[in-house]
Amino acid sequence: MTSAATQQTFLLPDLGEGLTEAEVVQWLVAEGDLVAADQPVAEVETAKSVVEVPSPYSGRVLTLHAAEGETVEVGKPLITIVAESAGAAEPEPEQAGSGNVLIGYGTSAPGEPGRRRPRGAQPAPAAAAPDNRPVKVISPIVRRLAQEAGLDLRAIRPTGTGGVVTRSDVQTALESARPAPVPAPAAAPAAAPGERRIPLNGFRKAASAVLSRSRAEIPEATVWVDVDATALWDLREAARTATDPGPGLLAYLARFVVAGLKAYPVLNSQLDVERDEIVVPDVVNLGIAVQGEHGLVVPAVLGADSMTTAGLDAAIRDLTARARVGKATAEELAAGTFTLNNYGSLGVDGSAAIINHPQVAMIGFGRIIDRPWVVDGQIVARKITQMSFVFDHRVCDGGTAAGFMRSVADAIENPASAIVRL
Amino acid sequence: MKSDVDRMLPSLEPVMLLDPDGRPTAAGKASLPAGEELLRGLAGMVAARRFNEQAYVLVRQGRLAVYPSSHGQEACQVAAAQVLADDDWLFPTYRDTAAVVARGVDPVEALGLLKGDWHSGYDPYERRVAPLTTPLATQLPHAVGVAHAARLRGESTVVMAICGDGATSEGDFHEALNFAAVFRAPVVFFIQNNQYAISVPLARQSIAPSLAHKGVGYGIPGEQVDGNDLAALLTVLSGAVERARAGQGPQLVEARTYRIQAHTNADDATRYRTDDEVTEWVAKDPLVRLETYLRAEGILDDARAAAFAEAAEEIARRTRDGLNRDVEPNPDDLFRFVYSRPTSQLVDQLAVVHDEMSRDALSREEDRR
Repeated sequence: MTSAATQQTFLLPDLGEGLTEAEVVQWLVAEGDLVAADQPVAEVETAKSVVEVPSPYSGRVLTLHAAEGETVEVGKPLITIVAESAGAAEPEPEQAGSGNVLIGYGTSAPGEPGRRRPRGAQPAPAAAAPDNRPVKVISPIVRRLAQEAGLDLRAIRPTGTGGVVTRSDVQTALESARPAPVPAPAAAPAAAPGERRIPLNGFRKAASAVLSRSRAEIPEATVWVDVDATALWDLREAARTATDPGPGLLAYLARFVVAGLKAYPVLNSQLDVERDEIVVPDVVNLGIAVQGEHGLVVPAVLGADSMTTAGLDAAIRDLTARARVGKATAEELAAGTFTLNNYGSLGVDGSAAIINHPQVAMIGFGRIIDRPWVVDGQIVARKITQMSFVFDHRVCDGGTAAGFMRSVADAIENPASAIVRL
Repeated sequence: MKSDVDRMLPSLEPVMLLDPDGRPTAAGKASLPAGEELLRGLAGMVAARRFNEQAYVLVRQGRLAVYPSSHGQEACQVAAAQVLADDDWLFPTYRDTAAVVARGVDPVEALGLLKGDWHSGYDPYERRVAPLTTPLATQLPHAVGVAHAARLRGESTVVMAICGDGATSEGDFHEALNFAAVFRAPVVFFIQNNQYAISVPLARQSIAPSLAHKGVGYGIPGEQVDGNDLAALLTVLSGAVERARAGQGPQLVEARTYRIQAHTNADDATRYRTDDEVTEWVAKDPLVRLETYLRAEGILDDARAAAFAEAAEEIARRTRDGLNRDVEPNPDDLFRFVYSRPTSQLVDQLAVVHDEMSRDALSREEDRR
């Protein structure tokens, strides 16, 4: 029988220079399996990539500390392995949490009970009056310990040379504060009955950061207009032959959008807030919103302004097909100068979309459906779509936005005359 | 009759003596390094490959902070060390740990920096290997300084200064080559062109006909060589070393090779290069190429191959055991090695640390009671 003393717990290391966590994508071993040292035991996804993690120990797997899909913090247990040795087991006095298994950095958990007893009868720090004097702290570790424990450094009694707050002071304060009903901020709240908690994975977290930044920084304005797309619909049908399906509607829309951006280049720009300048690139890299495997991505058709409608059609089909399976290149994902969002494909009519920061504008198309429309005083069925346009009000005014909108809308309604001018 | 400029220009194509299938090329049929030299090189490459693999594993176990792997570049790593004499110097970059080990530095010590220690990990003077350099190209002027000093002292030392393709865009590259050329410093500038500066492809780094062509602008002969052909590397690099030793000044050698793995564990290479491109280079593996040739010629047999693999396994084992040992760092070391006599500020800071440590010990003592 193996004793607890032969257990070794592998704590998740920092897998890529400064990462704080990783999501277990897949376990490559099961509890009860035998593993060799350096054998990959799990596939994990960090903010940077998916990697296989090899075990530093050999033996039998006792515990997998996370379920697939769960996120593990760096320094927390990943897997526990029991050494398989017949008879004379090596003395293995160290256990998880001791120095021997401090693989990676900074594994001491902030919420762990400290070893210290308060020295002397130190009163718990009372709520102090506002005090603006700088607190004497030398070590950033001390600041971090206090911050993680939710302690105000001013409320800690310093005992270091010259009134400096030391690490042991923080830990002493932590001990005294413990009995008080202070919620531990580091502890993950458990799910309440009737609810389920889904951790944000790397992709959603990154998306969340970009979207929040856009909404926080950009004073945006949204305008919209209903457009009669019947003529464009007919044109698309007319361009079809037995052998060639012709460009899709999205390609025509993209072509009109590119023409509009050429006429209103300020909408195809970025704002350099440091220098108070609008940066207008020479090219249009047209971002296309695509629902990929992991979520929404916006890869760009590079150099869209030099393409014909047929060229755009091929480029968009290729790009969206690759993006859906996560194969858009890093350049394509980063190079967009403007975004076209075809949310109509999801069956909706309108959207007040969020600008894809650092771009300054986005055009959106709702689904095209038959609606009653007044043409020459008669109510007839027409193919109608709602077009929305959101823009960064810092770079232009509503007049510019409306001018751009109209240029695209007019092209959709009268494609024949628009094409003559292209 | 060749002009001086012609003599400085590299061959039109990289020098190749063994083709990717392990067959001698026309140049290879004319001349190849001795069988024993090639066997020594193969042993080195087998060890280097195994070392790369072990280090890669140790990163994912948290024992190394970072590891820039030279997987795929082992021929360059081994040749750079093998052509040097004991009194010569090697100036490596952060990706050249395998070359450092091939030069005879203890593998555990060679990984000191990448483990995250505050020092280089090994004594540079013991094997005449400068510390691994993380900033690009800063080691090149240092290498030139060492070479120039040796020349002034009348010593026969040659310096092998390694850099990557990205480093050729740095100012230090220019200064080092120009100084070395003017003062005829005995340096071999060895560029391992692995096609990417992290994610920046060579085409966005330089549009020179080749990186070896950069030499002529400084008055330095340049040569390009297949970086996955150990036979060609040994021939070109040892020629450059001998010319430098003979007082003919610096040389610039560009090896065309490829980094099979990502830049480091903090990089996802699939974001900037295709799997097809990697597959193409895997087929040009330097180990397979040389082993195929040596077996076809009857120079390598199974017993010898097994001995190489065993020696490589031993290096991996030493590396693993050495890095899996937990060494309690001594906080005093932080204050120790910069000044021969510590400043008053350092003395004060050391006292603060000691004060904190003693309270820590006291507190544990109380805890036990």
